[in-house]
Amino acid sequence: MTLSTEAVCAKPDTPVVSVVVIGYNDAANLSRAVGSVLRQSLRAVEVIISDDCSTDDTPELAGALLRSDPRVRYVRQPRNSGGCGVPRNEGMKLARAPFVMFLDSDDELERHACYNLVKMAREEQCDVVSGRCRRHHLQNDTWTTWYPKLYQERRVLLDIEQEPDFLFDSISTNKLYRQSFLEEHQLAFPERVKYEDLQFTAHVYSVVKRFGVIPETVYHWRIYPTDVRRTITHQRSTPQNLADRLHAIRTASGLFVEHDKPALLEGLLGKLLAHDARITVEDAADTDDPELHERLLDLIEPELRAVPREFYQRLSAMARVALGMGLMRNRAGIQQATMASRNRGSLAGRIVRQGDRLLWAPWSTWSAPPAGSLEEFLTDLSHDPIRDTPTPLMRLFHVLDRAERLPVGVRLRGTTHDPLLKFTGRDEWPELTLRIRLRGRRQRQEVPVHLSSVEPGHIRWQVDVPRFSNRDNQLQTRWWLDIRTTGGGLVNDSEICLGAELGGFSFPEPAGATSHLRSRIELYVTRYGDAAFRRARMQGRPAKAARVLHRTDRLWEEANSRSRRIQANIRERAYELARRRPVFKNLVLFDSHMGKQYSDNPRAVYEELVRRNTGLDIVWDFLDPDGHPDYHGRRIKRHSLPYTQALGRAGSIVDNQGLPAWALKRPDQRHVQTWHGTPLKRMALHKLENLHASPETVARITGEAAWDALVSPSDYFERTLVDSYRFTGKLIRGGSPRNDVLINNPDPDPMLVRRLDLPERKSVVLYAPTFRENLRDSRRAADVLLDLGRWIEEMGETHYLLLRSHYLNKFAVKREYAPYLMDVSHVEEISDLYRLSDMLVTDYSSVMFDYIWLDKPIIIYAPDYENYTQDTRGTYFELRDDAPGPFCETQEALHSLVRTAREDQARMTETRRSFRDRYCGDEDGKASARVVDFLLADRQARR
Amino acid sequence: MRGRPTVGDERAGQGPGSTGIRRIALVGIEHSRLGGVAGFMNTLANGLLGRGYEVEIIGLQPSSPGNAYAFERDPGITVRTIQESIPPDWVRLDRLDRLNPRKVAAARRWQRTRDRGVAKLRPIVSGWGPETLIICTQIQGMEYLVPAGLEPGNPQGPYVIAQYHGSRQMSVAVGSVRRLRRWCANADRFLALTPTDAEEFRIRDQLNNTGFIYNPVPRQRHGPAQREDVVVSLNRYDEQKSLDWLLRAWAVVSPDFPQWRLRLYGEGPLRDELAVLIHELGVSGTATLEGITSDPESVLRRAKIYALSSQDEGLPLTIVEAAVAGVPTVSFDCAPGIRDLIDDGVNGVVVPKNHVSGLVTGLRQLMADDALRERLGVRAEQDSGRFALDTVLDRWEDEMRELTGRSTPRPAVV
Repeated sequence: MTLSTEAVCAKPDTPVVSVVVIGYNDAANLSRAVGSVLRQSLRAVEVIISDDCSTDDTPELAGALLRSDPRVRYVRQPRNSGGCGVPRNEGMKLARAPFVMFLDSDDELERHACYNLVKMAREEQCDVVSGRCRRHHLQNDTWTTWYPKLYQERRVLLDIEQEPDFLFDSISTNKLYRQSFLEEHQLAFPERVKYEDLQFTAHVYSVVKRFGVIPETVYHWRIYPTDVRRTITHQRSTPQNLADRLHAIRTASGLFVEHDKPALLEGLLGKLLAHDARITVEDAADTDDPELHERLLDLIEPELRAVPREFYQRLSAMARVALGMGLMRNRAGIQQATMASRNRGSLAGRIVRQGDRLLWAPWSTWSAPPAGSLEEFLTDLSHDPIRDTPTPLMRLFHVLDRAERLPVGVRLRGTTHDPLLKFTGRDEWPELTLRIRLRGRRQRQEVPVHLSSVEPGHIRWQVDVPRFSNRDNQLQTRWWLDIRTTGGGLVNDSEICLGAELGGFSFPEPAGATSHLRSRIELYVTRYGDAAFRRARMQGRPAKAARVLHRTDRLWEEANSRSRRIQANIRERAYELARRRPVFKNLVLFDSHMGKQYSDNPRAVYEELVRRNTGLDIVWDFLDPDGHPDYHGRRIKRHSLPYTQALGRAGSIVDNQGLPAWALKRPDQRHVQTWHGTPLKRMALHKLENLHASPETVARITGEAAWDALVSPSDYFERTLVDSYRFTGKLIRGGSPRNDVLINNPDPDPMLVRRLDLPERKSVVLYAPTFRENLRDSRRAADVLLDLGRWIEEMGETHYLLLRSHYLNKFAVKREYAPYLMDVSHVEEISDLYRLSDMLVTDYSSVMFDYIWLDKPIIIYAPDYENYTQDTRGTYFELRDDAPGPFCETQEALHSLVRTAREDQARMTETRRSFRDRYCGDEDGKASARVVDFLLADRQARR
Repeated sequence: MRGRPTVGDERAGQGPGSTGIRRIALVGIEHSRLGGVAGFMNTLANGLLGRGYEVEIIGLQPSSPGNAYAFERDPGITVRTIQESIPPDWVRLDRLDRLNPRKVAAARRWQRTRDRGVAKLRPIVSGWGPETLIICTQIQGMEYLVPAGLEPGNPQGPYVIAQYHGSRQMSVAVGSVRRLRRWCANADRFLALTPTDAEEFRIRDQLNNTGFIYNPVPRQRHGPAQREDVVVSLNRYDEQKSLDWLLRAWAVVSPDFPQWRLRLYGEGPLRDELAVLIHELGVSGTATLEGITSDPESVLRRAKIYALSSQDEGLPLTIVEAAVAGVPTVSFDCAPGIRDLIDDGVNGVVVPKNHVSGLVTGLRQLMADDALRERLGVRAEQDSGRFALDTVLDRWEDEMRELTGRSTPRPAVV
């Protein structure tokens, strides 16, 4: 059974794709590049090797390839052109296939590239199809994706204006072009200039009608270590290179203007400012050569002046200022501004009043720019949102200028810039504390900072670090640093920037096992740009011993974490023992949200108890006993041995959620359950899935409710939660202790107002969404529920948003959002936020049942209403029909409701009243007193 | 030779002339095992032979006597078995295991058997050129073929399409993801069973050659169905199928539809529990445990609704079988590819997993509304055409044409 191979084999004379491979003196890589085409899963390809007159053995190699595979062709330029344009154009002329691709001799096509691109081009009739490009960093053999966001899904763009971000993907090689399209528009690479890709792609983007995008990887771009070799287009900041690049950008912007592509033009100019201009100015600041410095700034200046002013609005304040300093040729200014803009949004320099304007200036010589000039415009911060940044979210510019070795330890000297005068400019000096945290630990070592001078906007300080109180023996141990600044009721924590000449400074380790090996600690810059300490790599004989110490340290850590099961056993035994011993009738154990907080009903009851001075012995348990600065009494760590004793022997327990699974209340203990919220979703036995619950399930659930008393704020609560647990014990009726403060003292807490330092002219919106199982631990949580960027754009000018998320659904809040919103999840007592805010936005959270007592607007924003309410649990009532305020499901509606909340007062008050009557019972501000009465009376009775 | 039609017979766009492929080799672990992949290979082989290809089926090992099944197979199909007996299981050798002579011997035994098999396969592979397409239905096939000299990407060698006959979730569950990435990333194509899985393989495993082709579901022609008011389930009585959810939902719906019956066909460890539950829920009059049926098709043709309350499925093809019989399905959202099978509200109903009230609503809707049910049933039957052998063969030939560069451009998009 023999078959003729010829008849069915992909015929070499009918290729589907022509791949133009260009090369110059790169024989070493050429065969790999060509091989990547010949091994394509789509076999109907042809390779056109376009040799830019190489002087190495490229011609011989091409000859060999030609003989080995009939699909290879070869063309050689008569003389070297020095760029990519000529060889690509010449290769393109020879292409016979309906589709064309380009490949550089040092890169590779992904094996299925042609197949996937052609499939898309044919199925969707595309002129150009673009695929994902992966960059292979040869230095450390890592891979990254080139603009991954653009290549998430397969789609066809009828006009690139729809997604101007494609501008950033200006390489020509990850795309497949239809030959007829190239011919129709006479597309060719500009010759004998650099950055020909940018111009070619700009031309393609200007004229393409059907642009396909596929998520598959098509191109492997090999990135060589810069000191080994530089690809032609990657030589930054030689004046010639910059001139070429600016020429390319001018050509591209001309094309966009000609073909009426405003979004692309905008993107291009934005890129010029945010990328090219920034790098040029930074390079100018970094160079030691005064001539080069001048030359670079001379080149960029006309470009900057040509860009319309509105394009500068998109830059961050410091990036904009840095360009202005470049125009002003103020070297110190460029340095301070770029350093600040590189260091995660810190604010350096000073602000000078010039007429009616507030201008940025560096801490050095500076002369005011002429009024109305571009320089003035760029350094003008009068209307910049950065001045609305609340102090706790600000990043003060702490810069470390000098470090000196002490006999033991190190002395650091630095300066702090405070351009907004939050801490300086007053008689009273602020207090600075250096905080040192060992990587992986939570405790911080606090070292007071000595201030040598405080002027308005400028602090000089020095701090001695004699030793590290937290240390371990691991190799390259790291210590993170930050500085806490306090003064006038304000608090700010900011990382430190490292002065340029301090990199590599080191001193002998002051103490500990490794110090006997003459280890040294060095200052370095983390990848986030912050200053930190680390133990320097050891050399020679001590290195061996250090490695042994490192391993031992690791084993010890592992052993500690492995013994969890054992610890649990010990804990349960200890608890059993405690239960057999007599109870301390005077001991009361408090707990809120299973040790996570000092808050809610237990806190209200506790404060009432303290007020009455009853002589009871009180203790709180916390998961993190080092936190919770508002609590001043005795505290124990939850799940520790002292905790088992307290839990087993306390006369009374007050909590709001439940005891640990291994604990069982003693008959002679009193457990007062104050419950943490009014339920909207069905609870316990009311859950739909428990509709036909087995007797065991019923027993388990009712067993959880072994409480002696339950605080019940309303009839609704009794119909729902109380019934769902079949609780039949004592009910302490008439309001929630946590709401007492809302009745008795509804005004904001001045201390908190001062500390948060929110912009005064904005109204404060509290957004408190409830927990969602499907968004657990997801960074996307914020975007799924509320598009923060959009909120800022539409509402940011007039409203300040406080985000209070569930601790499992953390929001990812960007630093530049600070002037408009703040994550306040760290504020323990949510009622403080109720009092502070002007209105509440929530979804299904029980906060609405409490907030209602402040008689301020409540807006229900439930973008996933159907989904959320129709899972297995079900809700007690239809929130959509029966809400304490207007109900909306889209962000657009939410914005308009927030805007009109004030005008709508009358109607909303009516809605709130009717909701309150139905679901919220009565609050008289004496609920905590009633719980305390119960506790005291009970103690009396038991005597 | 039988089964090879003359060129003039070929319909336009079908057969070797249109695809550039002459010979197709189907490679799997076993070629004569009841059900599953072997059944698929056999159906596909018969179909491809009918379209004029030379077809061979290669099984890496014989089936154990308990599982063996003699398929109806056209004598024109060449069938080969590589290993003469069932090879020993693979042995994992940890560093400490190297001190264990018994384990080392077992590993050697495995290796020797593998080498013998590879050696036997080598001459077969070297005889294949670019006129051949290898359809490798299981990863193990690639693990034999590549050492035996198959070189994906070699323009003088055969084309290779690798398949995975399970969902991506399943590939994770059985721990075959790494093997899959290693062996299938280089195949000319890697085909999953559903678009959802193809997408998942692409995103999560960075496979760049993914696509999908549905498995064919056999259909037989009968006269019009005689239907009774019955909701039917063809699922094992076990945890995974969680029939208790269906029974709970039934307890809610049943009182409103006294003439309707729920019949659970199957067998399994939870039989007693389910019997107790039926009694407890008070539906003994209407819900019955029927035991195993040998003729699922006629069961389906007597029923009006098919219900699926599983926890986790790869690709529940029973839904397609029901659809072929014109029965719409009410199902939990229990498989990653469920939306590829059921278009909710069009040819069936999908409700959230473990959502009694959803199941109740779905069942009630279809039981109450005859017109709706019939519309869904008719549509389900139509849509099951995607799984008809002829459609599936067309898809396979499309794949071949795209590989050989012979696919013709589709008409311009308006």
